Amino acid sequence: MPLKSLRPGLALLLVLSMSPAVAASSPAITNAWIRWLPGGGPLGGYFVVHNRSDKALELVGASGPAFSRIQLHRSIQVHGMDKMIHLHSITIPAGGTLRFRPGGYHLMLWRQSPVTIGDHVDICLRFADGEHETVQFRIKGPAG
Amino acid sequence: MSRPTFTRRMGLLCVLSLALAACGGQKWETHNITGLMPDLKFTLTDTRGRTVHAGDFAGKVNLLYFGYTNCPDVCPLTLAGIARTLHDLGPSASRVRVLFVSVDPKRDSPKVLHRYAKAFGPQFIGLTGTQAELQALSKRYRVSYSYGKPDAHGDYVVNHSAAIFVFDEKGHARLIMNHTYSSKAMAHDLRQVLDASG
Repeated sequence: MPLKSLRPGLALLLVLSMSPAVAASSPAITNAWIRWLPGGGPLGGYFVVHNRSDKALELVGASGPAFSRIQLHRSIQVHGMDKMIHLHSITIPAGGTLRFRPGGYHLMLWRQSPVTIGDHVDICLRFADGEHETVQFRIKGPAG
Repeated sequence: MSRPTFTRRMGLLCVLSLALAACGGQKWETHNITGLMPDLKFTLTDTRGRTVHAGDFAGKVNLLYFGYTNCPDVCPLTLAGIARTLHDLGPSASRVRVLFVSVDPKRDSPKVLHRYAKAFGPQFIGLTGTQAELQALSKRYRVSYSYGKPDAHGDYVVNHSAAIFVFDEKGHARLIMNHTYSSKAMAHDLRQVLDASG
């Protein structure tokens, strides 16, 4: 590719990186997905949150139009027993990354309308400082 | 210790371990419990409402796992891991069955349990029972389960064993594994159990 054609892109990147509209401190949320299960029981939601700010970030809740309730949970194994704990907040340290993944931290989501494998659903993650991020979660099959 | 002596000793160790392997000392990636746990035995109810016994499931390698369908995280994680393991086994997977025993009979109706189990594959069978039957089975394999306090919506968590018990085609207890093992490790050990069963 000739160098000339790269220039507009580079210029845009430069503008974006200087723009105050892109807050460098907003958390980066990636790999957001939900495991679909048959029946009306709750589902597990997973994502990776990277705190790009120099202050600790506290996740305090989540909501979404497809769900009547969403709770923050953590699965733990104690003496060979699997337990699930309901958490009211989860702290992501300054500059740190926290992975919500099966067998650990997860969202517990109660459906109020059906969701279909392959779909994307919006979920708003709320933080203690009043900030919130709406993220698209992909619905995956039972086997992930 | 001088280096040549050390090397010789290591060499001797290798020869010894090779000899052991040749004598049938198999290596396991999960936990070998052969002779340590009783044979598979239970009375439960299947998803058609029929009373079933362990004998009805003889002739296949059976994986026994306790859970409940209102379990959104660890149960599907474990069952999905088993599904991947069966996929890795290839055609031999037809000789394996997965018994998913719900310890939450109050919420897990036969229909709900059937759909949940089958979502992971045709070899997955949902079973449940009375509290007496479930407790008898749990005690037999030295595990337990308990219920959390219901919340304002009546939802409660169920604490349950993480273990997957593996029984050979004759119903003898052979392995314990759980979701922390890779499907590769689980398939490796299941293959050895299947090979021994012939």
